[in-house]
Amino acid sequence: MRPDARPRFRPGQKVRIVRSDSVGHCRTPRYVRGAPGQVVSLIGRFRNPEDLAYGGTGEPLSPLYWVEVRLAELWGDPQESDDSLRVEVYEHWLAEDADAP
Amino acid sequence: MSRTHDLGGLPAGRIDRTEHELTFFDKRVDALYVLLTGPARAAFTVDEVRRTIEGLPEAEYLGLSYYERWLKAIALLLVEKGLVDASRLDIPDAT
Repeated sequence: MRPDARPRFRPGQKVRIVRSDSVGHCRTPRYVRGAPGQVVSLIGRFRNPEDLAYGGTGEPLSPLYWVEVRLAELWGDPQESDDSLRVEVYEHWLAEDADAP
Repeated sequence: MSRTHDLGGLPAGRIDRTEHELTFFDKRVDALYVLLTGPARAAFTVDEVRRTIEGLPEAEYLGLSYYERWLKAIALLLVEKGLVDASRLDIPDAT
């Protein structure tokens, strides 16, 4: 069995949730796609639900991260608060945020 | 894929918080699901049921009740897996 790949992202890292259409079962909700965020933590490694949805084994296990996204990035925020949400995102739906300061 | 279920961030009105008892139909569908996904049969998995429900056309997704969606998905998967011939099931389309 292949050893588990090292996670690509680390807590605190600035990331961007991939903007892409998906085909089939996907756990990344549409409303966060394309949004910049920050990794909170690695939740663990799980079988890929996009593969499980079609009877696959879901292997190799895929790292799943908590990602914090500011509400203002999603929907604008006239009150300019710092409110954010956390969403669980699989590694292949994350990219390094090249635009992050 | 319509992703009708993917409602996050969309205007969707008030959540209906009405409580209701499970009907006998609901319980039968749930029992069917448990039997088919259990180790004795392992006909399909919960992930496949989700994918099938999510793939229902929008009108069906919205028009069917929760357990009606499950039943439709179960029927579609039984056919997909070759366990039941499509001609032996009456799978109506929602209108």
